[in-house]
Amino acid sequence: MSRILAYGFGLGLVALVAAPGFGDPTDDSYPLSTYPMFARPRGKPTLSFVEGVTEAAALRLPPEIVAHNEIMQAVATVKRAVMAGPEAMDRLCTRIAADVASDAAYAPVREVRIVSARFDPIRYFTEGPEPEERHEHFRCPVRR
Amino acid sequence: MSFWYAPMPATRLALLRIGVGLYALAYLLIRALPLTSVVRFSPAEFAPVGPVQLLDAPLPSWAVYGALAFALVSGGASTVGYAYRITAPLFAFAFLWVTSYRSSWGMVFHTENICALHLIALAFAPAADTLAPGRTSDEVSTKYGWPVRTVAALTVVTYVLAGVAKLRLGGAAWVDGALLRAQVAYDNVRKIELGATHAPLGAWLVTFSWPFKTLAWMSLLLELGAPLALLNTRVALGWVLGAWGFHLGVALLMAIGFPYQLSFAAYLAFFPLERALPTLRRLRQHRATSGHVDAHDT
Repeated sequence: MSRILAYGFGLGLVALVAAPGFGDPTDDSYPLSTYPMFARPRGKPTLSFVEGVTEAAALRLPPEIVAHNEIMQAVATVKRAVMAGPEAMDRLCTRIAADVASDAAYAPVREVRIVSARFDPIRYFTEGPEPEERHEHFRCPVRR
Repeated sequence: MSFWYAPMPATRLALLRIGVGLYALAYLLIRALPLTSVVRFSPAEFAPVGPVQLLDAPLPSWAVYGALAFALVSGGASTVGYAYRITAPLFAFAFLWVTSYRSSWGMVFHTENICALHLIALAFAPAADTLAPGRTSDEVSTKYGWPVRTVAALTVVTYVLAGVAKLRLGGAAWVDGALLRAQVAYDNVRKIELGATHAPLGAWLVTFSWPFKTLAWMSLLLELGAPLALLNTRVALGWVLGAWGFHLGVALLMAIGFPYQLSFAAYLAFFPLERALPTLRRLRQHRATSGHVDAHDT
């Protein structure tokens, strides 16, 4: 019985975990993965984020407001909404605006907007943080 | 195949069960909020992975909290070795479910893969034949050897996969360090622009190109050379220290933590853990004795 478990289950599990390495290298899942997270070429990425607009300026809203504390989740949440179109952006914008309205720290924020900007990541640090391109996708009011 | 089916003491496998179990429990407790914060996400964002693909729609909140509570209870029982044949598979599945559910919202997290796989490997092994309630065994047997080898091999395979992905997706750009530099810059830009904690050391280092070729080569050698760690304990120690340094580097340059690796729990299977047991027992005895003396003094 032990030998069957050792070779059947033990080696079988190792083979199963190794299997994604023989397929599409971008095929990412959990718990089986090709671990492509640090391997993909990046180029000049376009980042989508959420801004809170006050009388004086536009503030970048942090991940806690956008996706409840997780930066990677925040990135994915905003990106998916932008890709899905106006209806999805409306839902996300409205949900964030409601969270902003109930948080005293964001009292001056009048409006929420979903924005994309293209950055050159190396130039960002060597020359300055200005984006190469910027595009506003959606805006919604903060109702208190 | 004597390597795979080598005899090992029951104590080594039991200590591995305790080490991995304690880590997994601590992880679930410390990360309870992020793991359950998904209850506030819109159903439109639901993109199931792993076993969560069985679902067509997100679970109600009570089920998400319930799954975490179930994982904690079954994890506590299996870590101490109570009703292990039942509690260990339940914990392995519960941990896999809870972490898969968290990755089912558009972003797949890779920090828990190895721990989830280790729990699955240990769940079907006789890992509670000693250091468990009413169980003591000094036996040395092949039935305790293969699960330890499986856990070590799973760790090795994940590193090799990561190395292979770098070569297949990045190719020459990865080898000359350009892609790694861009990756570090990209990650820090994203964090700065989204108002999250970034890595100042990484932000400073990307202003130079020369360190990244060395770092890229070191990463590739470490990942593709991982199978060497299975040769013997001395080579394993060298590789583990290198892998730990690699994860420390990732934390310092990109503010991304791999807690399972940084806690060393991911690498326990490479070492003869039973040799630490007499020291652990002496420490426990010493603490009990000094506690007894203190009680008398007061």
